[in-house]
Amino acid sequence: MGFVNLTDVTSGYKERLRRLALFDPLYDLDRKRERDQDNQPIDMKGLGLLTLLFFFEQKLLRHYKTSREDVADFLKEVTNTTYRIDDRQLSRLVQVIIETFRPQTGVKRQYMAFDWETRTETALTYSILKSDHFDREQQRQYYTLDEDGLELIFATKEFYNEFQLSINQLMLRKQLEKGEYKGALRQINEMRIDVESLDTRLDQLKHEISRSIISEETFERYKQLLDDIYLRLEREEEEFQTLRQFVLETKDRLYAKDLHIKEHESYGLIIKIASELESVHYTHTGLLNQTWELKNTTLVKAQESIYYTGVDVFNFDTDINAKIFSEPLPLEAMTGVFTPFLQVETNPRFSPLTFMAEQAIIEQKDAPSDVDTYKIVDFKDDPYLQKTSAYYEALMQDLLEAMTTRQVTTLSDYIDDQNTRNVNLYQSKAFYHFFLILHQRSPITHSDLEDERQTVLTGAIHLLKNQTLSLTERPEIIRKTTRYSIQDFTFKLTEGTADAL
Amino acid sequence: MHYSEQQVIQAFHIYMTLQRDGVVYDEATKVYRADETIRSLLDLYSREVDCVIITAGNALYLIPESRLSPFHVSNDWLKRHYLKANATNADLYLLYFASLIFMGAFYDSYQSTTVTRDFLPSDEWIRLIQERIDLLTSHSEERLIELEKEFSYNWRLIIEKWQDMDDIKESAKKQTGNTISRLSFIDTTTRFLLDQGLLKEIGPDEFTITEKTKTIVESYFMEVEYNKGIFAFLYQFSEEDHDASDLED
Repeated sequence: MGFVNLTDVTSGYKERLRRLALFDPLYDLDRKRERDQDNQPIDMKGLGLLTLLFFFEQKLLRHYKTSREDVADFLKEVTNTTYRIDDRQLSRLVQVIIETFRPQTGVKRQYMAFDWETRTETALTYSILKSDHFDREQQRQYYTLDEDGLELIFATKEFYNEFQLSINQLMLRKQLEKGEYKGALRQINEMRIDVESLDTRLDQLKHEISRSIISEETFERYKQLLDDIYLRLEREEEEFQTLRQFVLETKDRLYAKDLHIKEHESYGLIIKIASELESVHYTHTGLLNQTWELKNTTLVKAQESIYYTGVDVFNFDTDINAKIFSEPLPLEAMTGVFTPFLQVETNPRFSPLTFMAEQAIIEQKDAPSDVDTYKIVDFKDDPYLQKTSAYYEALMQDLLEAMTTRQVTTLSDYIDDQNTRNVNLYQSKAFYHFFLILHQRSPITHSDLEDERQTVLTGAIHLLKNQTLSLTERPEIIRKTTRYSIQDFTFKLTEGTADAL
Repeated sequence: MHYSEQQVIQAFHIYMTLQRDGVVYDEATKVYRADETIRSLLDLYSREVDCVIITAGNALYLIPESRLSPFHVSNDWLKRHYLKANATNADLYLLYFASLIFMGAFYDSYQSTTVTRDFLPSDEWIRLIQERIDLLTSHSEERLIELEKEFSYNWRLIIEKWQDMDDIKESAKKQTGNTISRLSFIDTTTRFLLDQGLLKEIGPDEFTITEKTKTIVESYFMEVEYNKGIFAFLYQFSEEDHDASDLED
């Protein structure tokens, strides 16, 4: 992951939280378990949202006096075909809904959250419904949407994704005009995300089109869709052109006024903006071409759709699987149905003439294989072998010292001995390798060195001088570390060489 | 109809590639679309081996028809390629069983003719298989035995095979094809479908179908004529074990 500018990521965190908080009352309602007279669960969240929409509509129509009774009438009209609710229950429901949006205590609704921008716990207060008017004579209270309520309504309104890019373009222009270059750069990045998601969508569309044009109708639909996309891309393309011009002009202006020396940072930013804009623009142009291609593919595909008619409904699971398994049909039915998915059988056959064909005799090797392990390497050239050899020598030195001065006779004793000395050689893998090799070659004497080749053990064996070291297995398994385990050994050091034994 | 030698050879070249790979792209597709002679030759060739040719965008697929045909992959071939050496027919049919359920999991709605899910996790897959097995078990033992005698097919073997498997083999370190457990069986099926280009892995234990699969289901299974053929193939079996009086009901 590259460098992430934390302040950029968290900037405006509180605002985002606020928008999340607005939805909270709806989820509060969702948790209410209400049932109608047929014991059907009532969709309280939906009723809550409907209530808000009702208030919104009232506002649009300039009906300012909206009371609980009005809400109840409205909800009754909406729900009368879906639920069986009597008036008393309904007025109670309305009360619950209104009280959720506008708590009875008079305290505004609060949303506690941790603000990661300032890294403090913040309480966000908001108010969705407010009291508008009070009619003392009739004991009626009228409500209307508060500011946050309006925002919630707008937040739930579908913002056409298609316009997102245009909006971003507009914002970018404004920011550039105001000289907010840093924000502009971020705006461009958001634009890039838009363009990327558009790219993914076009890709999906491409697959969809190549699979599913099955009638004149769908063809027309796709054609229309592609035309729309194309038009939209063209419009955005124009905007990109003017933006580009604008950025270039800004850049030149900054340069001409020698600002590139005085306002070094701004100038750097505008250069970056220019290049980023170019790159987004480039991807966008790619999309334009892609749509053009798609339009052609669909046309070609349309020619086929004359021959092809699809079924209206098809449910693989029910039509095919259930049919086979519930009868049940013979097993071959499965084979038959599944064959379309499979390839046609191909059998490679052997021809004796293959022997006469050219054979590859060059060994192709990119990475060293296991075989290399057994290759004789020049000892001096290999730092690993040298290191191991030195390590084994040190180990042998330590072991011999422990055996002669502290009467260590077994491997477990030796490890304990290390523990008392606060040495932990036994933690390393090489330690175990060493004893494995020793055990394999036991008894070890000086005469082993007659072979002139230098091995990793040469140094260690030299330390034995005239003695013979033999290792005998003991039944216990030593598990001093979680990673390695080894069988216990008894060490024995005798004077003279193996020949004497 | 008279064909020129050059056209026959050209068609044969395309057919050869189709036969080998099951799919050709771009140039050959263009030829298939533009040249009526070559198209009819290719259709002729493929019909001779009980296959059909389907176009999808810039690709041309050779799809074996749903029926039993000596030209299609044999059970032996599948066993040799995807199952372990001592596999029996029951293993193979269980493989088919799981694969069909896999396909069904993606197309299980009458509301839409496109895929209904993004991916299928393996535990969900096992659950769906179990559901179907339970359904099979609900047939009385006698009926299954009776069917076996009559038509020499053996659902009981498949049921037993599945029921006898543990979900996982606890003593094994990896649940691959070599151990006997449901997960390892799913692994075998996955490898089979992967090799046939029908399945894609999109996450740990998460599988989805490929464009090829979508094309086969949406252009072959859902094409009116082929669709009829498939149902005719399926219903021919049920007609065998019902009396004519059953049909009149």
